[in-house]
Amino acid sequence: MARKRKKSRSKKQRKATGASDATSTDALKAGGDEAVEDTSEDQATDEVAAVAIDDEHETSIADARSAVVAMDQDDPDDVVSPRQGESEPEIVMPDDFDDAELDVISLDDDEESHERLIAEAVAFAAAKESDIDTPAPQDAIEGEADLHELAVGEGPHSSEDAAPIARPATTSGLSLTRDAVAALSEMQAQGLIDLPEDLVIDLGEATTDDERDRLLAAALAHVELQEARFRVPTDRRRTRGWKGTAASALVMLTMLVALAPPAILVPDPPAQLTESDLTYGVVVALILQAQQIDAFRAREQRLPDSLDDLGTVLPDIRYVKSSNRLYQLVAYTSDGIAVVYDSAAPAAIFERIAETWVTTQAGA
Amino acid sequence: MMRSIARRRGAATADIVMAVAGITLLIAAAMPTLRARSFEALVEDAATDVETLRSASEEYFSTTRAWPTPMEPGDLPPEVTTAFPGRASLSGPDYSVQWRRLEMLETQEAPDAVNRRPADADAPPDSVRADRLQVPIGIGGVVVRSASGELLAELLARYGARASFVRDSTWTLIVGVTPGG
Repeated sequence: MARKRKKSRSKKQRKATGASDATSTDALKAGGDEAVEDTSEDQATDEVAAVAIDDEHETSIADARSAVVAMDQDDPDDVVSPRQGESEPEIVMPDDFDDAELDVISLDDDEESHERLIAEAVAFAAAKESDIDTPAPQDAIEGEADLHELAVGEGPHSSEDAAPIARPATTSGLSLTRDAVAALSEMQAQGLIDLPEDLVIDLGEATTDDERDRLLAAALAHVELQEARFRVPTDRRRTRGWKGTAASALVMLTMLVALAPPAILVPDPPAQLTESDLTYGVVVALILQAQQIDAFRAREQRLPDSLDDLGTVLPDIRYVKSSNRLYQLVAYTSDGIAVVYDSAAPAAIFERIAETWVTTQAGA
Repeated sequence: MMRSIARRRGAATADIVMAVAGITLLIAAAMPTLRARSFEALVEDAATDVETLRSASEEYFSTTRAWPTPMEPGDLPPEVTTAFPGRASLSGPDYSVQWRRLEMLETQEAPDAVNRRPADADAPPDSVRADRLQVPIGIGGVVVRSASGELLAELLARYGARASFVRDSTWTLIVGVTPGG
């Protein structure tokens, strides 16, 4: 079943020319981890791995070569380093790595490093194409550990910044082991990554350090190719021109609308209190307070000593008891003008307003 | 490469400016309407509270011949709680409603059988026999307190200046009185 599935995936991978693909050092890490922990399963699938080796070598070489071709075709000026302006990610290398391998991993230095990396990957793959040996299981475990250690370092495409990469039209994707694919599937199920359905990357045949290095170089070259394809800019001069004009016009229009909105956008303003309303309120308040005093006097046969004797006191009204029968109420308008209600001779305005009030019920 | 980055950043800046300006334009264009809608909702809420309190109080008076208990601003009179289901107070987001008891004098015909003497201080004894009396009657008042003068002005415009008035930061509707001509 596993063999059939792997073969069918390889065919599907070859057929997919414009489909998307995704790979990263985390993916390689996942494959390495799974391989180290489950060597027995790798041994059980040696037959499957042996079948996939030929396809894998072909695709790796094709990857690397196509990467070189693609980078040569692209304008070097238009290719932007994926980490411009950011600190270089530090790659954790095992102690036994030599300087050449360190240079290969440091992809973000400059374009010369990229080209040198790809050239070395192609040369490395060609040298190993005729020399494929199956290592001992112990070597495989150590090799996997090295690969794992290499992949753990935050390379140029860590799990945080790795993005799904479209599969180039001229290259096929890498191959991962079944365990790596299972690990990727699990990560995808957990929502950590987003993989296309046709992703097949097989590292099951990489049992020696050199092969792993070659595969890693090919994978990194593949990633660089995809980055370069993504970052090929279009001519934006014309676009920038009209966008700048439109942005300026939009800002001006926004300021105009915010500071002086047109009448069509402004609804009718709500009613405002006028001086007449406020003065009328003072007069009515005095009448109402006088009614409370008169009601008190009709009930108690005397004037209240202060407004506190009343049940209802309207605010900001001053009460002056001038005799046993007379009193004055004083209030002020908003302009500071005093309005006086004299119980002996109320002003005509008080009489007019008070006469308009008719109770709706008999005495309660 | 740097020129490419600069071109790209220039385009990105223009895009961001356009997006921000577009959003700001929409907000600026919609702000007056949104503000007016919010104010209309506030006025409706306050007017609903006032009308409900007035009708409930008048209904209570029609059955008991007494007005509800006067309360502090925002407190609901216990006699009219059924008119405000689910409400524990008469406060809105920018206003509070208060029920008050008021009094006013009403001139009535004195019954013939009653020979009321004026107060000692008002007139000499046995001088007059009142045929018209001024009787204190109870009325009510719905007071809305708000710092929004526009809200008070809207309420004054709705209920008219004959039955209500604005004094300082309060609007008072006199209940139990019909403004005449």
